Amino acid sequence: MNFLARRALHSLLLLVGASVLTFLLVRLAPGDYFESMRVNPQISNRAIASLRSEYGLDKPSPVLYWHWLKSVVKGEGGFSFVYNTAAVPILWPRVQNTLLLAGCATLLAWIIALPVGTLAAARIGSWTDLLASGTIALLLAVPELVLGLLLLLLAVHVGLPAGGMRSPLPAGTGIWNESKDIVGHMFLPALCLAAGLLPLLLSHVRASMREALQSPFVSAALGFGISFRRVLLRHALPAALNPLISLFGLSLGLLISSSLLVEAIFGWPGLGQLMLQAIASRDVFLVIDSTMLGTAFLIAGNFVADLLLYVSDPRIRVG
Amino acid sequence: MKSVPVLEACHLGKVYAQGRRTIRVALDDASLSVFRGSTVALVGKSGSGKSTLARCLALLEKPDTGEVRIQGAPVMNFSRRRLRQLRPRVQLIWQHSAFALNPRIRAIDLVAEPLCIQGLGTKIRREQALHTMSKLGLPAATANRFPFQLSGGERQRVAIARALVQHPEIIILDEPLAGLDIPLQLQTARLLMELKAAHTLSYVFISHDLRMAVSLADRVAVMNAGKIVESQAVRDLLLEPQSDAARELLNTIPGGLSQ
Repeated sequence: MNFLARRALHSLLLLVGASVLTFLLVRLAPGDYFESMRVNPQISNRAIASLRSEYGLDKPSPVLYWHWLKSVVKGEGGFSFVYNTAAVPILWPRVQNTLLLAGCATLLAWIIALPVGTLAAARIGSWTDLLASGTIALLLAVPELVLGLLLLLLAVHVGLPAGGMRSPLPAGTGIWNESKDIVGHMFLPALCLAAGLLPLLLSHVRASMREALQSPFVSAALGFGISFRRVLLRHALPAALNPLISLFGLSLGLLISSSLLVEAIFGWPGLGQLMLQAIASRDVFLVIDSTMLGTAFLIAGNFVADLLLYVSDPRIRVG
Repeated sequence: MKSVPVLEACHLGKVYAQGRRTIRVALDDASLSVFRGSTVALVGKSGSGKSTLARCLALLEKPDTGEVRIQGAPVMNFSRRRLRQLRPRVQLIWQHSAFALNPRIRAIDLVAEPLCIQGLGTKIRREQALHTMSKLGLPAATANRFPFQLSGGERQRVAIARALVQHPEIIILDEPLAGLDIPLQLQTARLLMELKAAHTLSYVFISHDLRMAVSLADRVAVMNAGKIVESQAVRDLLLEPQSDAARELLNTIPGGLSQ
């Protein structure tokens, strides 16, 4: 239990540290939402100063950080100047959309990488191995942006939805048809995102499995006459798990931040677009909240990986 | 009538590629016979090909030339299925038991696992494993421990128990005493001899320590650069070594072994 308590405390401290740093960096950037009003000659400096004072932007950074922290605890996450409301109700639907897209893409990439990587490692030099190596090289060579544009071109030719998340459906369309519509829109961005993640996962699964299959205890188990399938599942796969669990934690952590470019290419109404708008209009609390969400996911992903390592490896649990 | 060796290596050759252009000859026309109930010590310097020969004899590696025979039957061309059926008869105990035991599996399950090929249920497998472990003097408390929680001697006994549980005819011991302190080496050697007598086992005892090898074996085969340069009874080897490699090994023993 000590290990887990230590990791939880470490994660919490990291989160607090990251929030202070994010807050400071955003505050250090010159100007704020109301500064941009100065270009309008009809708004006087006094009016701008009074607005800054009304929204608390004239207060010192530690005081503002404290107010933001209290607001986070209340579930508001600060205030959006552009939308003139608490930040969380603006962020939440976008976060859900991003998680839906990135979650499906990450799941797809793992579902492909695990069996293909394992087979490639088990049969070195086979067609599966060559196919895996070729896929890794090809996907690494094609930038996500180019792949996204190629997929958009494909969408236009085969009649798949090429942007957005929903089609304008008539009222009363059932949940089944609505879901089908969302899946149709999600197919290409999810494919693009999964293709970006696949070379990393595939090469790691293959390398870890290859190393595990060369362990003396795998040869020893085969020497007893135990079937290759049982040795693969009971000895090699658990031995290859540690680096893969760390990678899984990282892929969970990147759920929020990995899809920003793909969302922009495919017009997916996720956090990426909102974050870009918030940065452009200096909507500080939305920027801080979005950044902190990415950080929180990364820390949570690492914590989940630690938890899984604790459960799967007796050397950590018992030793 | 002349008896047939239980395990026989006939003119084995094995070459490994080192980089694109160079090769390393691991085995060069190596022949060895092991008769029922006997112990053959395979000695030689590090890198002389002892472990490669052990892996070939244990059917874990295929030699490039020559063949391995079990009870006179050549087994190299057996199907994978028939080889799997043969494997329990020839067991290899690895040089470093710490690496040969999966660190994520408890001792009792490690010993019980080879029995799964006989189609036994988990409960019976565990009972048999526990019985074998207790015969080797492993306390019941060690059964549920992971390999990294065991001492070097206990790990070695788990490795021996795992080989014994399938009732093999031949056990190939690749430096089984390496890494153990002197009292533990003597204790393990005594245990191996007791097991040999109780189960009429044949051993191939691989070591670079000639002193320990000659005290356990009936015959000694000396390896050098992948070849078996000399093979004779222990007494003859000690009194009249025929090869430079054997003389070199004898000279490494402080005070000699002639007495």
